[in-house]
Order: sequence, then structure tokens, then C-alpha cells
Amino acid sequence: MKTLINKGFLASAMLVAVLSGCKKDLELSAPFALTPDNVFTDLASYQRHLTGGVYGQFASADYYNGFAGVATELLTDNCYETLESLVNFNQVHNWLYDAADRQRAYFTSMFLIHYNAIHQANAIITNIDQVKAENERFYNRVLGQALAARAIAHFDLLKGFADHGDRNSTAPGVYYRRDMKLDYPSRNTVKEVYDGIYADLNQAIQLLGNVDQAINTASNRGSIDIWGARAALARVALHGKDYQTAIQQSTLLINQFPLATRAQFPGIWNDGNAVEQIWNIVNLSGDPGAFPSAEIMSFRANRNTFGILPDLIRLYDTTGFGATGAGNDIRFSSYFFLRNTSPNGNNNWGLRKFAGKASAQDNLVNYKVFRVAEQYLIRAEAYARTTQDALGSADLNALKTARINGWVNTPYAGTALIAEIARERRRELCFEGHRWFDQKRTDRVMNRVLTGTGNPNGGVQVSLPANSHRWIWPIPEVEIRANKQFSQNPGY
Amino acid sequence: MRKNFSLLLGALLLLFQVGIAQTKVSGRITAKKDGASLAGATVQVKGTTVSTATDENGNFSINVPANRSVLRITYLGYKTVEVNVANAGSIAMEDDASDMTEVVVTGYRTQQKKNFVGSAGNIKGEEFASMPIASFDQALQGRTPGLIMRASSGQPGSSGSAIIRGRGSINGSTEPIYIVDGIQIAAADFAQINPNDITNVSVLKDAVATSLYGSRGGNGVMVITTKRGGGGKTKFEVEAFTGWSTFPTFRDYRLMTTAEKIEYELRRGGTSLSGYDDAELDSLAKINTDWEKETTRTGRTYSVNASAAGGSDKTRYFASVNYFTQEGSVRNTGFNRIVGRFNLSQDAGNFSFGLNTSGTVSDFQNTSEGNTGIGTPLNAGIWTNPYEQPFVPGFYNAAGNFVAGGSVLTRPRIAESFQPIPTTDLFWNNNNSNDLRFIAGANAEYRIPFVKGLSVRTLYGIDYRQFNSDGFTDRRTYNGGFNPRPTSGQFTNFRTSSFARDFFKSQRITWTSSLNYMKSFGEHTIDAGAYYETVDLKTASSGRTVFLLQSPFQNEAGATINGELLPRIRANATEAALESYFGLMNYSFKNRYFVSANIRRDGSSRFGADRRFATFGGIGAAWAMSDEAFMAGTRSWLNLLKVKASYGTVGNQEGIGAYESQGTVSGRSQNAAQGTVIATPANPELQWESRKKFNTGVEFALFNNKLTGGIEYYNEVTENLFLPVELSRTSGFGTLTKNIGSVRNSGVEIALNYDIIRNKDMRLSINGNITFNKNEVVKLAERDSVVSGSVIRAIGKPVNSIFLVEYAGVNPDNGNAQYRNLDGTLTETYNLTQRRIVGNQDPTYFGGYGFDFSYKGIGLNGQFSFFGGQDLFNNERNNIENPDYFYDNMNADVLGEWQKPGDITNIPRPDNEFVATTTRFLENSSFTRLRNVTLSYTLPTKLSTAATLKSVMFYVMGTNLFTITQFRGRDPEFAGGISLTGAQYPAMRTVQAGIRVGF
Repeated sequence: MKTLINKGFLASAMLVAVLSGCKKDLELSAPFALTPDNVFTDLASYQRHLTGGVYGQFASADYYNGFAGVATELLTDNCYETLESLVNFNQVHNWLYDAADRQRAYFTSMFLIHYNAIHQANAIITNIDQVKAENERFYNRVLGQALAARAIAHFDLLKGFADHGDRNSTAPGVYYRRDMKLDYPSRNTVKEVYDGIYADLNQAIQLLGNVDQAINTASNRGSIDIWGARAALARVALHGKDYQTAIQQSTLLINQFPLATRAQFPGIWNDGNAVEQIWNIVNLSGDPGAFPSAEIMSFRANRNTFGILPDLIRLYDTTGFGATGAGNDIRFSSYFFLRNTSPNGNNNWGLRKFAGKASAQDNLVNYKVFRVAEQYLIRAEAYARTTQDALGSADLNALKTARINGWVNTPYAGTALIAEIARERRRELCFEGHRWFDQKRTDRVMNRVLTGTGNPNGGVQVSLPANSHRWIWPIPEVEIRANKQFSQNPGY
Repeated sequence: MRKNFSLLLGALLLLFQVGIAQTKVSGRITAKKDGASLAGATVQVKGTTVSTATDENGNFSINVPANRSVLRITYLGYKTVEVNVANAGSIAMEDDASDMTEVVVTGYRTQQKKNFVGSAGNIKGEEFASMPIASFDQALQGRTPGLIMRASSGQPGSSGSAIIRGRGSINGSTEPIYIVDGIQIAAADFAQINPNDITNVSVLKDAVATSLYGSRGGNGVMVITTKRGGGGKTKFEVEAFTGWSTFPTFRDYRLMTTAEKIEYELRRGGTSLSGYDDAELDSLAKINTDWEKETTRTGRTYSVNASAAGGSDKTRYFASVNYFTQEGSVRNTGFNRIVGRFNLSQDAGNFSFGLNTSGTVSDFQNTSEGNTGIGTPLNAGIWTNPYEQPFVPGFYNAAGNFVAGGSVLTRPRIAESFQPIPTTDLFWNNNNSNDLRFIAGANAEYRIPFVKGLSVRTLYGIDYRQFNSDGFTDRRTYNGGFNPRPTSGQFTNFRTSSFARDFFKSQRITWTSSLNYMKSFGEHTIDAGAYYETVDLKTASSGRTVFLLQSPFQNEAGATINGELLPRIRANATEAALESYFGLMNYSFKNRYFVSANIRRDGSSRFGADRRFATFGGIGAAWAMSDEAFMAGTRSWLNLLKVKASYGTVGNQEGIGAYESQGTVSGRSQNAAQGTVIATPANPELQWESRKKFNTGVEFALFNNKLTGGIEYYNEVTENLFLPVELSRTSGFGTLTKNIGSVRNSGVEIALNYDIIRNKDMRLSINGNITFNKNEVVKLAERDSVVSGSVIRAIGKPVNSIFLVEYAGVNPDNGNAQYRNLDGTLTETYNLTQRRIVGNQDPTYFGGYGFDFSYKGIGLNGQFSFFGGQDLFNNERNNIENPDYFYDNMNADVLGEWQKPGDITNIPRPDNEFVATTTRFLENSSFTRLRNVTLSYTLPTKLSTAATLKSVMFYVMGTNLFTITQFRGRDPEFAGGISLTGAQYPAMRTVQAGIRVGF
């Protein structure tokens, strides 16, 4: 009997030994990822989050390297859809989009990615006070950029998804997100959103004025420094018809940044220099989604999805273009190229702006968010709309003089001044994501040929009526479905 | 624990007291047919109530009273044997020609089907051994009720997709787990097993059957048992076959010919053809390329298999090697594989141990599929205009860029339609992979000598997979255009080729240890075990892409490393682990009342600390009613009638990310600095999905076991579903997985086998099985339905219901498309609010049927499988009927589009706004397929013996010879969702001839 028990113990001891040998720890962590709980340790960790989270999302193919950048232009009268597009854009291009956003999901993706960039900024803004003591001016440098980024992303949402043309409008805006919650909020008014943008940008300007080291260099403008925050505020103010602020901020920028010479100008577009640039999205070989103009003219696929419309081509003074050189207007040859002459004898122009770095043509190039040229046009318009036509005309002529060979100073006034500023904005800023919003905030005129004919000249003309609900983009169906509090824009 | 142990000892002591005036007799019981051990056979001293049951290895030992000398051995499905105790050392039992010989293998345990209270299907190895399918999992289609096995692709070597008893999860995994000889392996590894090595596949379905795998068995379990040596003289077998595979022509539409296409393009206007003069059009009209022919071929298959099985009474082994090579029916695709296996087991007194190993090397040559990409040869093979040519002299400048402006005959890369032509990407780019798999399990058992029936066992197994892939993308092809280009130097802006090499490794280690007790006393038999198990899965991957500028090499040797052309590197690794404690108990009384119960506690690393562990359990019972005395009158025709029922809970933790509960912050570089980005927010409340499974059924054998079968009813409810809850996008995220919602699968399974003729020279039997499954969403988060694209999840409806606006033809007056509103009225405006449920992704009924005929040496058998009540959105038709795509080739039906008032047609005028997502392209994808038919001839024994061979068989076999379906695409068999996106690689049609020799 005794042996039996002893052997029984032996057996169970053996089992225990076997079992404890393979005891498994279930507390595992990812070797290739951190968690939201352990990512932040010191100010440098917040700086890293600014780099990857905030600037990384700004550079995504759904943000400035996509539909919030060059590709917005496919909604405008600057280009037409060619047959090479495989007609994959016709619903968006011809303003047939709806809340389901079924063709390219542009609105759905950008709505999400903009708020994701805001989430990344909020991760910094809501936590960074814990390490403020480490170095207050370093803290200012990181927090200032995060606040400016949050404001810019909200403005980019507001100008697309709301009737945003008035700083004090009580129309529905978007939601101004200041926390990291996963809740279901309702829309703020346009005024409340502007209030948030102003507050964040003003605080950013204050913080970025007192930093421990320079944020950008002369040749690398990849981050939002105090000038980036001011440029954002000037643009925001122009859209919100707050002309005083627009003049105030653009003046500071114009005094800081010179316009490019004609010799320098092509270098802006192939990243040969950083002249005029206040903030850009730096795109490097190997970055995901680093091809800002690929949706319009893909050099890599040799596919010209959108051709340039003759109306835009005709705006430039092309005297001397071609055989003898760049032509009078230096912008033309940097922006466009003659892709081919079609069987029906048309000249088909393609987009060269954003073609690539140096002489490469592969769409890999920095996306320019703020250039000082825009500030000239902002100030000119702000002056013109506050009956300071002479000052406005002077800014307009200053820009033209820099761009057009032999430009003779021409005074403009009244509606002619306003109209010429609009034309100049189109000449200068085409395919930088302005045209749609400029028409939206002003007279809402948009006419061009119907897609699918492959012919920029003939074909059926279409226009988007000024009273169309599509000037204000649909809140994505997914948001409306998930969040009953979030109201849809009229007409969708 | 200690108290329990003394109780156990007390019970054992009681048993010891019977030992008066007895002789102890031991022996081993095997099947005469193949020498396999018979576990659980009843050994009774004739004329007494003294009985016992054999253990795992067929061993028994019984105390025989002094006045008795005959043992009576019964085992369901075998003829009862009576032997004198003097001859009891080794007893071979003969087959009783009934399906009740089947055993159910639940991993560690082998149970007689009669004793089994759970639900399991069995497929014998010989049913699929020689099929010319590189992934044998697909050969299981239609073989057993409850199993939906569909190929996701016909590409050689690609694995199928299995669902057992309906889709039980929405966001989580619906794939069963795969166990080979007790070791969990990946689904892809399962597909690559040598089918000739398999004796049996058990498909475990209910809560009792899957109880060994509680933490993983929620979707059912596929248990594969490989061959063992039988002991005795070594048996050799060699088989070889060769086959011819063709690209099936099931497609029920015709593409336009050159003449039709030119006419159509000119009618529509706007393409470059409008600018051609008559001479150019004439030269164009002379080209008539059949793109399907250019991209496909008759592929050859060769296979050789050799095996040896043998051993002694203590040692048993099985060794085999298999070589299989298959050319795809699409050019430049193919597969070859070598598998080696060695299984060994050894008895050494109270110890026994064994090792099962197999190693596989596979090479794949693949082409891109399942997308609408224009660079995908399988798409371009349909779309490309017939007036374009596969290869024409190229016009490239020094930079390798296509020079525009040539005539149609000189445009090699981009065709006139601005589409790449399919042949360049198919022939010039390569996509190869190489797979090394190693599955090994070592097991040991110690039978504690002083407590009879008590044993300790451990099993340590590894499933290792190493996957290397490499791909070369030629600078001259469409896809090559996306490679980076130098921005400076001699070759500024030149196109580059690229070469990518990727390495993936996965290693799953399963370690199971148990204390087991098996004992018969009187009419009672108990078999119980306490288990501890861990499963640890680690994966790692790394890869790089290099760019090649003007290099003669097609690999790293030609890499240019500077500036924009720096290599791209990538890497990742994950680990997930499970830990389980569980107990199992099977009890039988009088060999006709059976009870099984289990309880377990499972922990998974995927969940947060508070939610990690959960408890599951189940209980089941069965009653062999036909063995009761009151049924004596029916024995002349009723051989077996068994009723059974089970209920239990099983967990699921697959289908969510390894670190989803923690949230993830990834690395992201921007502006030449490295940063972090929050990729997913933390989700600490995530916990186990749980399945409540109920099963009941009857099994029967009638008319001298000629008609056998079973009927089962099941009802499975998954609760705490992993459901993506839609977030407000203002949070920055789209969805968050929560445990909300519930899905039910209920259904009936019927399986029948009837031996019509069964005599010495001739056998004819027919078999069939069918499953009716009803899948429905029971509960969702906070709302009645969730729409995502064209899929809706709505309460009371199947999980992935197809949600579309009904297309109602063309208005003859103006050629506009018409849609039917929910109220039945017609409209010409497409309106999302008028969508309704119009179809179902998964079959509502499915199964298979077949016949097996033999006359002397001649055999003929065939197996059909069918799927019913399923629909598929045929996006491949959209790709060739969308009027906006008219610069590419189109369905010839489009010639009949509306042109003038009064035209009666189903195709609207081309300038009408086109919406693809309507019922116009929704098709019924139900089908019946002749999966397999074999004609064989076995040489008479006299002849083969003369040639000193044991057996010789010749056969011819056809696979996928025909399919009956209303679906109009290349292949209705599709497991990839509600929409057949495009670029489908259909299942190949193969004919083969082979020979099998045993000696």
C-alpha cells in the first residue's frame, strides 16, 4: 500500500514537472509597434509623433498628396477627363457625387484622414503638459506645430464640407475635435469652427515665436513654423472675409519671403530650390503616397487622366513659347507640356507642375501647401474688397512683374481688379488645390466640356449651377450612419 | 486536488479486491484489414459479466476466472470473435462491411463511431488520394455533410476555403482549425499535405466533438490522421500518373470580334479609330487575336508517389515520398512539390513513444488575380481588343520610355486603348515563391504500472513554414513604369526594373500534456483526462525591393544603390499564445448508454489582462437503442439505431489582430525623420467570441447494414461577436471591434449510403449527403442593419446578404436604364434608398453524391458536388459591359444595346448614366460539378503474383469535367466574397492516367 502511494506521488510529481515546463506567459507585446499607452515618454517622443503622426498623415495619399491637394482640381474647369482615365472619375468630375461616394470615395477617405491627423495632433496636445518642465521652449516648438496642424486640418474640412464663406456664419460647420474620445458628436457652427481655428493658430503663433531651435531651414520647408501658422491664418481669414487679419498676416509674410526671379521659378517646381515656399509636404523616394499629381497626370503609368482645358491655356501670355524658349509668362512652361496632338488635330496639354524632382518625370515631388505668391494674391484681394484698390493693384502688378517678361504696370480697380485677381489666382495657383474653393467662396461659376468625349474643344458643355447643393460636399454616408448626431448637408 | 486523489485511490482499491482465483490474460487486438490497433473494443469473459476495453494501442488485460477459458471480443463494425485464452495474445478482427467500422479521431483520442455522442463527418483517405489537385483540401468538397469547401482560385497550389456549419462570425475568422496527428497547422499547410499519406479526415462539428480544442474549435475542427505501419513484413506501394489540364470554357458570353469591335467603336466615336483612314482600318481589321488563347495552354501534370509501411510487434513505421508537378492552364504559372514523411512508433514496456514528421518543398509560379487592375494579365486577357497583337516590334527611346505617335502596329506596351497588353506583363515579369514546410510531432506515453488504466502523456509539435518569394518587374512592362527613376546622373529619368525578395516564417508550437485514466469495470467504462495545453504562434517577415538600371541581371546582382534607387526594406513580427486547462470524460454503460462531458478554461494573449480567460464546456449523450432487449424483434432488419444529443460552448479568438486590444502605434518616416503614428486605438474590452452549439441526431443501419446513414439537426448561436462598430469618423478612426451581436446557424444534415449489390464479384453502391443551412443575424450593435458597400447585415437575414437596387431593363422609348423601387414602381433614377436584399453569398443547401461500382477487377466511381441558393455579383461582366469601357473589348451582347426608340433590349443606350451596382450583374452561382470520375482496372492476383507483385492497378480519372450552372462567368466556384471582382483563375479541367503497384 505504501509503495502505491509513493509511486502515485511520483507520477503526479512527473506530471507537475511536465506541466510547469510548458507554462505560457500570455502577456505579449508587439515587436514592431508601440501602444498608445507607452509611446510618449519625453519631449522627443512628442516630436517624433509630430513627424510620423501629424506630418505623416498630411502627406498621405488621401490628404495633401491626394484629393486635398492637386486632385481637388479635377472638380474644376481647369481640366477635362481624357479617355486614358478609363472613365474612372466621371461621377466626381461631372459633379454627380452623392453621400455614398461610390466612385472613388474621395470625400469618405479625406473626411477620415483629416480627423485622423487631428487625432494624432490631439495625442500631443492633450498629453504634452506632463513633460513641459523638461524644456519649455522645446515644448513650445512641438505644441505650437501640433496646434497649427489641428487648426489647418479643421479648416481643410470646413472649406469642403460646409458653407464656409463667412467667419460668423451660424450654418453647420464640422466638429471641432479637441480630445481623443471615440464619441459621437454633433456639428459645430461655422463660427464655432472658425473660433477654434483662430484660437489654435493664434496660440501656435505665440508659442512658435519662442522656440529653442529653428524649425525649418532655407532649403527644407517641411514643417509648420511661425510663418506656416501665419500663412494658414491669412488664408483662413480671406475665406472667412476677415480682411483685416488677412492683410495683417500676409504683410508679415510678404516682408519675410521674396518672390522668385524668373530664373528661380522653374526650380520651385522640380525642388531645385525652396524659394517662395513657406510650408511644403516633403516627398522622398520610398514614402507611401508621395505622388501629388498622379491622379491628374501619371508619368509613371504614362497615363494622362486629365488634360488641361484650352480656357486655362489661353489665360497665359505664351508669346515666345516653344521654339525660342519658355515664353513671356514663365509659369506656362513650368506648369504644362504638349502631350500629343490627337487624331482630330487638337493639341492635348498635360500637367507638368509636380512632374518630379530635377529632370525626373515620375510624380515624386514636394507638394507646396503655402507659397508667398498666394500671400500677394490674398493681400491684393483683401485690399480690393476693403476698397483699397490702389494697394491691391500694386500687389497684383508686383506678382505679374515677377512672372511675365516685359510686364507693364497696369492699374486695376473695382470689379475689374477683383476679376483680374481671380484670373491671376487661377494662373498662379492652378493645380495647387485653390480653384474649386475660390469659385465656391465667390461667384460659384463652373463650366466645361462633358467628360468621355476625349475632346477638350467640342462636345457637350456642362456647368455646375451656382445654386447646386454639390458646392458643399456630402458628409460621407458612413458618418451619417454611425453618428445620428451629425447632420447631412442639404440635397444629399 | 489532494482529496480527489485519495478518492481515486479508494476507487482503485475496490477494484483490486476482485482478484481472487483468477488468471490474468493480456493481448492486443487489431484490424485484420490493415493491422491498425483497435481501441475501445470490448473484451468479455464468455458466460460472465467480467469485461474490459482495449486501450489506445489495442492492448487489453483481463482477469479470467479459473473455470472459464473463452474470450468474446466485440467491436462495432467488426465480426464478433471468440478465442481461447491460450490464443489471446494477438487477435485480428474482420471487417463487418458496415460504416460503423469508422472511428472518429478527435486528435489524441480515437473513438468508435458508435460510442461517439458528438457530431463528426469522416472522409477516408482513399476517396481523394490520387486526385490531380495540388491542394487536396479542395478534393473534400461534397464528401461529408456540413462542410462547405470552396476553391478561392484555380491557380495551382492555392488553398481552398472551408466553412463548417455556416458562417458563424462576421468579423472574426470562419475557418476551421486543422490538426494533423495532434498538432495544429495552418490552413495553407493543410492544403499541401501529401494526400496519399492520409488515412482519415474527421470533420468535427458540435461542442462535444470539438471539446479538445475549445479555445480554437469554434469554427469546427478538421482532424487529419496520417498512415501508420501495420507491423510485419514491409509493404511497398508505388503510384505514378500524368494529366492534362485545360482552361475551362464555362464562360457563357462571347467577346466581340475585330470586325464587330471596329464597327462598334466607330459607331460610338471618340476613340483614336475615328481618326484612322480606310487603309489603316483595313490593316487593323486583318488582326484577330484570341487573347484567351494567347494567355492559356494545356498544362501537364506529373506525379509519383512511393511508400513503405511495416515494422514489428513493437515498432511500426510508415515512410513515403511524393513528387507532384503541375503546369497551370494560364501560361507562366505552375507548381511543383516534394513531400517526404516518416512516422514511427515504438512500444517499450510501459513506455511508448512516437514521432510523426513530414517536410514539404513547394515552388509556385503565380500570376496576379482577383482584382480589376489593368496590369493584370488575367483581366487584360478578356479586355484587350482583338485587333491588338501580343508582340510587335518595340519603339522605345534610350530611356526605355514608350515613344508616342507611332501607328497602331508599332505600339507594343500601351495598346491603342491605353491599356497594357496582357502578354508583356505575363511573360516578362516573374512572380515566384518557394515554400518550405516542416510538421513534426513527438509524443510519449507512460502507463503507470501500479494503477491500471492511468497514464501520463505529452505531445510536443511544431508546424514550421518558411515562405520565400521573389518577383522581377521588367522596366518595359506596365507595372515596371511605377518604379522610381534617377533624378540625376547619366541615366536621369530612365525607367528601372525592380526585383523584390520576401521572406516569411511562421512557427506554431503546440504542447499538450495530460493525465489519463481509462477503465472498464463490469458494464461500465470510463475514459477521462486532465489536460494542460499551450499553443504559441510566432510569425516574422522581412523583405526588400531593389531597383535595376540598365542591368543584365534580374536579381540583387544588378541593383543600383544610390539616390532615389535605394533598396526598400520591410519587416514585421507577431506572436500570439493560448493557454488552456481542461478535463474530459467519456462514460459508457452496457455499451449502449454513452455520456461525454468536458470543461475548460482558456486564456488568449489577444485579449486584455481582465478579459483574457474564459470558461467553456459541454455535455452530450447517446443511446444505442437497437441494442435494447425490447428491440429484439427488429433485429432482422434493423442493425443499428442510435440517438444522440449534445450541448456546449466553444470559444473563438481568431480573426482579430494579435495586439488589437492594446492598440498599435506604428513607425512612419516623413521628411527624412522617423516618427510614430497611432494606427489603432486601444481596445481593452475585447474578449472571446462564444459559440453555443446544440446538436441532435440519429444514426442507423438497415437491411444487413446495406443502408446506412444519419440525420442531424444543429443550432449554433455565436454570441459576443467580434463586430466592427462604426465610429464617428470625427474620432479619426472608422471602426472599432467590439463584442456585440449574435449570429445563428441552424440546419439539417442527411447522409446516406446504399449498397445495392454486394457480392463476391460485383459491388455497386451509391452515396449522397445534403446539408440545409439557415444563417441569420440575431443581434447587431444598436441598430437593425449595417450596410457596407453592397453587403448588408440585417437582423433575421444571412450574414452577408447582397443589397442592391433592382435593375428593371431598358425603357424602349428613350433607352434609359430602369430600376424598380421598393414599392414596385419603375424609375429611371438610380436611388440608394431603393436597395433591397437580393441574394446570399453562402449556399442555403449543399452536398455531394456519387456511385461506386466494381466488377471483378474493374472499378468505376464518380463524385458530384453541388451548391444551391447562392449568388455572386459578376463584376467581370461589368468590366466588359460598362459602356464607358468601350475603347477595350466588350461583351458581344453590347452590340444589341438600345439605339432608337422602340428597341427592345436589356442594355441601355451608352450615354445613359451607368450604375454597375444593380441586379443587372447579379447572378445565381449555384452549381453542380462532376468533381471526379475514375475508371480503374486491377490485374487479377494470379497475374500480379506472377510478376512478383502484390497488386497492380491502372486507372484514368477526370476532374471538373463538367459543371452545370446558370452563372455566366469563368467559374461559379468562388469563396472570396459577394463580388467576383475580376481576373479569375478558374478551376482547371484535368484528365489523367495512372498506375499503382504494390509489392
